[in-house]
Amino acid sequence: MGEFKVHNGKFFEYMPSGIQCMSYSNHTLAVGRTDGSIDIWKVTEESWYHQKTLPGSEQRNVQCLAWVKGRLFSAGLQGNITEYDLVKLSPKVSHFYGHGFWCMSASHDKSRLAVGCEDGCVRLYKILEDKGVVYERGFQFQKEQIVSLAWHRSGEVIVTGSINNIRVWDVASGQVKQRITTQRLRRRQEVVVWCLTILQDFTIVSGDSQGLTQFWDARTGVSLQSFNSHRAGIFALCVSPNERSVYTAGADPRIVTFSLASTNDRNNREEWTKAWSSHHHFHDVKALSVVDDLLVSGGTDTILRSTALHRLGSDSNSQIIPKRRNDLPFPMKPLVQTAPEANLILCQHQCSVELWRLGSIEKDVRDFADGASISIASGPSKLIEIRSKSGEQIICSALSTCGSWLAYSTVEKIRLYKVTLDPLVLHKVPLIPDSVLPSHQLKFTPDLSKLVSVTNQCSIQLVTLDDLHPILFHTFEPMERPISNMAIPSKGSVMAVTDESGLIKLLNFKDPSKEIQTALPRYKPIISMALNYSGSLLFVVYSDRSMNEFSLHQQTYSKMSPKLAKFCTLQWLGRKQSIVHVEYNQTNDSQLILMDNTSLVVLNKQKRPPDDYEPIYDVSAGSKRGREAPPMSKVKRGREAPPMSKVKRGRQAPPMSKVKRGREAPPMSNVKHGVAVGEKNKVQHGMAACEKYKPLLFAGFLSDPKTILVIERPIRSIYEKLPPAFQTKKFGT
Amino acid sequence: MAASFDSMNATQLVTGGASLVNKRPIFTNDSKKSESTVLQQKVCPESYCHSDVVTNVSCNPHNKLQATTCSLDGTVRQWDIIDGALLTTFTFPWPIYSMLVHETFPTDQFYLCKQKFVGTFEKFSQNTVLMLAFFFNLDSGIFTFVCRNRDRRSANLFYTDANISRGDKGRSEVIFSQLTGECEKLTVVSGNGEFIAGIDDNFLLLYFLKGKKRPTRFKAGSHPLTCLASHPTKSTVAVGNEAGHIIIITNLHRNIISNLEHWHANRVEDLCFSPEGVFLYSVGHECVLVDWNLEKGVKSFLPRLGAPINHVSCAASNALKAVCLLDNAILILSQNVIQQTIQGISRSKLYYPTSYIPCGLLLDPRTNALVKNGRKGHLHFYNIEDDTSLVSIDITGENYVSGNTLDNIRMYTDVVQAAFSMKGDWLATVEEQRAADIRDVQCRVKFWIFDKQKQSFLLNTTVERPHDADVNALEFQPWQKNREGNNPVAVTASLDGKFKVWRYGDNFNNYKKSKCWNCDCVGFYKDAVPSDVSFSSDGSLLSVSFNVTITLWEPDANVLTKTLCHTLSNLPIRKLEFGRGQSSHMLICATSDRITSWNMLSCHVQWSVQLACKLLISDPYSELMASVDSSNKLFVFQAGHSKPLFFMDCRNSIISATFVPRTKSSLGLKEDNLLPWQKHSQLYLMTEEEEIVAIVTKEEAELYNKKQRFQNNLEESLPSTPFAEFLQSHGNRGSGIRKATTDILKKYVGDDTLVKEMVMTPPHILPPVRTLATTFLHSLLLPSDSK
Repeated sequence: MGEFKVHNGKFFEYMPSGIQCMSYSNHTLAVGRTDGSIDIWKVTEESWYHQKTLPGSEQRNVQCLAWVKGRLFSAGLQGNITEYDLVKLSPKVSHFYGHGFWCMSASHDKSRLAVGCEDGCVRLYKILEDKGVVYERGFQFQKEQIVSLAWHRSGEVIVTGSINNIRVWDVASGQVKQRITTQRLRRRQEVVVWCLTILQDFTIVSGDSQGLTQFWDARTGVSLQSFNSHRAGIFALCVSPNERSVYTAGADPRIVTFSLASTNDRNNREEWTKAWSSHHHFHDVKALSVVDDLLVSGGTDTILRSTALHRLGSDSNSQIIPKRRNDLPFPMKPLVQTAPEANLILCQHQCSVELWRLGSIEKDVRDFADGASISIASGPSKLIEIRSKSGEQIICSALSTCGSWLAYSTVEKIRLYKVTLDPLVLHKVPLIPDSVLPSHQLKFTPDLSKLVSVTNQCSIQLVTLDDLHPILFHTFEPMERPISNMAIPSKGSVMAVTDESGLIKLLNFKDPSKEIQTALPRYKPIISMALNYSGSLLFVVYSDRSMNEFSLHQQTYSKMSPKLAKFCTLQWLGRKQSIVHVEYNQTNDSQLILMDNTSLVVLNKQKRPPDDYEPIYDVSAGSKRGREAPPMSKVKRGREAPPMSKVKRGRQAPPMSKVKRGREAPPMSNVKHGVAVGEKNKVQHGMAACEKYKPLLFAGFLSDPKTILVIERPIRSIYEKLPPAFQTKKFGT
Repeated sequence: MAASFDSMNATQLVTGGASLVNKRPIFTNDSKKSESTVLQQKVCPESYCHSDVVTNVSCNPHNKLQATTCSLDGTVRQWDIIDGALLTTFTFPWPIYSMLVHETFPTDQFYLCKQKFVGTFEKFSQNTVLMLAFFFNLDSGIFTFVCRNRDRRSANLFYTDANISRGDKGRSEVIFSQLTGECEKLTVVSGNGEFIAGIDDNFLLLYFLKGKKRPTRFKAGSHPLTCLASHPTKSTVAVGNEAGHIIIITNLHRNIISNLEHWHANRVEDLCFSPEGVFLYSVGHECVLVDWNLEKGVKSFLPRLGAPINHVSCAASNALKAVCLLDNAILILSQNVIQQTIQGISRSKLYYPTSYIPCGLLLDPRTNALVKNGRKGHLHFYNIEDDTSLVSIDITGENYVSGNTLDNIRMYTDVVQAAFSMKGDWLATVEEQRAADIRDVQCRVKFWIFDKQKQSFLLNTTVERPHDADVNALEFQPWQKNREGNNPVAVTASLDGKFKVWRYGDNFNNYKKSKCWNCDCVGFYKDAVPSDVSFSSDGSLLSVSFNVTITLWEPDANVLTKTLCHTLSNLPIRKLEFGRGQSSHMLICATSDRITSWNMLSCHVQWSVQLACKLLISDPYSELMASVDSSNKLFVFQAGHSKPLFFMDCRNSIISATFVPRTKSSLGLKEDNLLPWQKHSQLYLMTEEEEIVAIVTKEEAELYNKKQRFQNNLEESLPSTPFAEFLQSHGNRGSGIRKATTDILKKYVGDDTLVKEMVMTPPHILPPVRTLATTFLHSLLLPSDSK
């Protein structure tokens, strides 16, 4: 018999937005999305993880991004150059100059920004020491808008791409040095040079709306080579650091590589050759960037994909399928908050929150076979939907465990609601004091006395809950770095917070005056953490997926900690996805649930750790479903509703409350398999992984510790909502 | 049955159907004119030049008028291209599987040999080097590439280096080992003569001639490679693989840069660069010639070529391309327009796992051409005496579309039955559309009339769904002028249990007065399924076999006149044939275990013989009949007598046969040399390999081979069409003068073959005049001596 029931829901229709632009510098990758938000990824040698998201707004379009000495600038068609505050996660300064900006690039000495404007002018902005930029001068006007722009490394030359032509500008005089008219494949059809760059040897590489990748000599304006590499417009282009390879992609989402090859003729010239191409995206590719030894690409299909460059031909003597990773467009913090006691969940969309009641199963149903699905008595229903004012993006949200309080925060302020369930009444708490700052993370204390908020000033605020007039109870001293995570125990008075560097601080939220000295060891940035029921144990997962446990009483590693290190096998550490959410089983401290975007893992610290070569994830299984097999026993994967007894399967989309959804797979056989393996091994190791549900938005315990809630968002249904992609003909269709 | 005496003297002669497309064709260097010669195996037929399969042909890069062939019989022969004269022969002790020739190495040839060689290595290389030295009159310092294998399947390419003039012992080195597959496509010399490339499974092997380093291996994709081409100027190689990818590999000296292009759905059969290297041509089973402009990344297509393609090659002038279709045709293309088609007997094997000729061999009574299934949905007319293709009629009007995998056969329509009327002015066809797994068969009968002005068959009537099931027999009524009615009649029989009589008559159409075929009447017998139909030679009697019963009908009135049944065999009747000529009162029926002859006058069994009959054919112009049994024994007999006239054990499996009447032009042979029963018509058999085999006497076979040798003379090899005769009579002045000189020579020299040969030989291959002078003078002296 399985150990858990799985409650599987698919009603949360989260819609991520497409990638518009990327910029990489100094181990930090900024990814601008079409809704104006910017994801910041931290890239380290062994791992890279999504660190934070700068929320966007309708008023700010992010067309291009630039890093200047660790400062992030964006420009957009609404005519603004914005510098961001990476601590507060909000714009620091925004300058409006009245022209739409198509493109922006920082000079190589990082002193100036050049932007290409809608009105056909290249403008230079000086970057100020403290914050913001100031207008320096504009180049000569031209008739067509400037769509793309690049600096030469010397800083003396700028090349711009616009409609039907490419211009080479002298920076000192602001005059055109060369004007190159692009080739037209079709008469009367304008050619837009969507992207270009200039190499150190004055070779211009351009990609245009006809799908041509062209190489020009900037000094003479002569076409060197021209490749009809794509069937539709090229939007993105990037160059490898050694300038021997160029990558292009666009509406035809193939990423095509061009490499320098010797021609073998008399003067041993080198020429560009079309090399390897890959086809991993299925929709427009808008941005390409070389990140160390990876080629990162993103586009309308919202997924950030990366491919190892060293695999692409040149030094390896073969054409191996490049190793790659795909990062799903889901944020690092779960978008789902649960209220297990009330059987409610809160789903956070970009600009709204939704309160759902989970479905339920018939009470008297018992005795299910492993892997069987349970029919539900009532489907999930949406109780409340709250939209933020004027389309502000929501940064975080919280729901109390009993479901009676609800809060969310935008860039501007926190909003708090009191929810009465029977009958359903939503009461907005009107008078939130101004001293309560906008929050990056919210949580209610289990005793419903306070709201804990991580402010944008790196401090923690405690707000006393009240229907009418909440008051700011206490503000802890700010930490030096932005706070990345917070954990509150169900019982007890000590909460834990961690900052971006991995420093852990303990705070007494019941009695803030009692200061707790913390001296927990520091390792790497902590991606997610959890406190057990009594608040005595702190479980942390680092950015490289290694795990640890601290005993808060002893202020050091817990007894289990050495054993946990053994759980971090190569296979575990080798997975690329970061652990998004960790949760203790409220009744059993040795059991935890961990979740990344593609799998959920039930960890039992009491059992033996897996051997190095013992499979946790079923590597061999090609099929996505039913592969979990592992030793473990008890997670049963009934695919919609769990095997066991009482669970309801929530997945039904809101409108219909049909009980059986066709897709329930053949759970029975799966489970049998799992059990069989388990018996053979006799002693099962303590890690049971399930990759059946993916991509995952949330996985956690419900009030019954034998029930796991799984919220899935099938990637296919995200794709279905995207605009139609560039069609390619398939043979035989 | 005892074998009759004359089978001892008889032999089988392959007279047609040789494959034109086994090897890649090569253009000669003079392909400037549109009439350019495609040098091909056919020029030097295997039967009398090489004793085994010819494996490769190449032009001598230093003498543009010479070509070299190599063969499995271990000989390498050099030919003059213009008149096909054999210049030199070199014999190797091993079969030669391929050869590589390149102009940058003036004295080198590269041979791919496969042999079982046991001796020491030095000996091996020395032999080879000696052979080549003799061959090419080498200067000092030569490179030789020889390939040999240890087992049957693989081959090693060896490299030897020896200085012959100084008598050095050779040094040998294995270049590539274990090349598997079709040797011709395995290795290539780079355009600048810099390296040799080979393929082995999914690896590309490179051997640089300059450095003489060990060969390097590169993994190219994960699928087995099938073919290889080298860029003429750059160090770039293109390889094709089983999955249909083309991988272009550049920068071979340093870091390899590879680019994968994918268009073909099935495996890439052949690749070829244009002479300047701008274009890459690729072909495969899609019947499309793909033309890649690699720099621009643009590709263009020449689609619907009709059959899967297995070779492509390009002339040095870039004006012409040749593609080989698997149905045994070579297309010469210029600017993507078909300039010329060289068509052998078209093969249907490519569409089916085994040979499948549902129509069998037919005889077109008008031209005496053989007619068989050609391309899918076509009937192919073939002049067997000249081994030339006449015409291919598209019956179904469907384009052949290959499946997305090699073994996936898509829905197709094919001609399953065809018949000619007595005079050849009508052609009836039955076509069926079938898909791999669909049981519902769409059937159509078409009647075609021969148009004398257009000299081709025109469609007259199409009958959709003539029967509810497959049509299994189709026959015209032998039609005679003096009979009343004068309207031709045809009969179809079907698995639905009915046979229908079709008559040519007025069209009941209100808008247009015309004539077409209409169903005259339907006949059936006891719910049984008809298996075959046959008309008596005067057309007055129609016999239809139903299971074990033969029914006789009066075709005009559709009245059942008689049923015949015997108890010798209870197996269903498969074939039914009336005798012709003297034995036109005989009806032969064949079951799978015996042949029975009925006398129509008495309605009794005349004779019956136990014979597992597979084929039963009759000569329409004589009383001869032939039968082939299941063990491929051929019997020729007369309908009235059970004793066979001729018996022969055929080596190959016979799938069809027909009698072809002898025409005047083919009567060049003395009658003594012919088999006695073949005086009026010649029997041709078709083997499973779709070769046409004639039954001839040994003398006849010798004469035939001799004739083939002289056919290289252009004038003689022109087909004997009226147009050709016209051309000959109004030939240009050059040939007239030549004729005149021949006449003068004849007058003075007589019919001396030596002198004739001397005069006919082109001067550039003639030995110096002084060496010939004595012989010539002697030949002039001789006649006077005899006087």
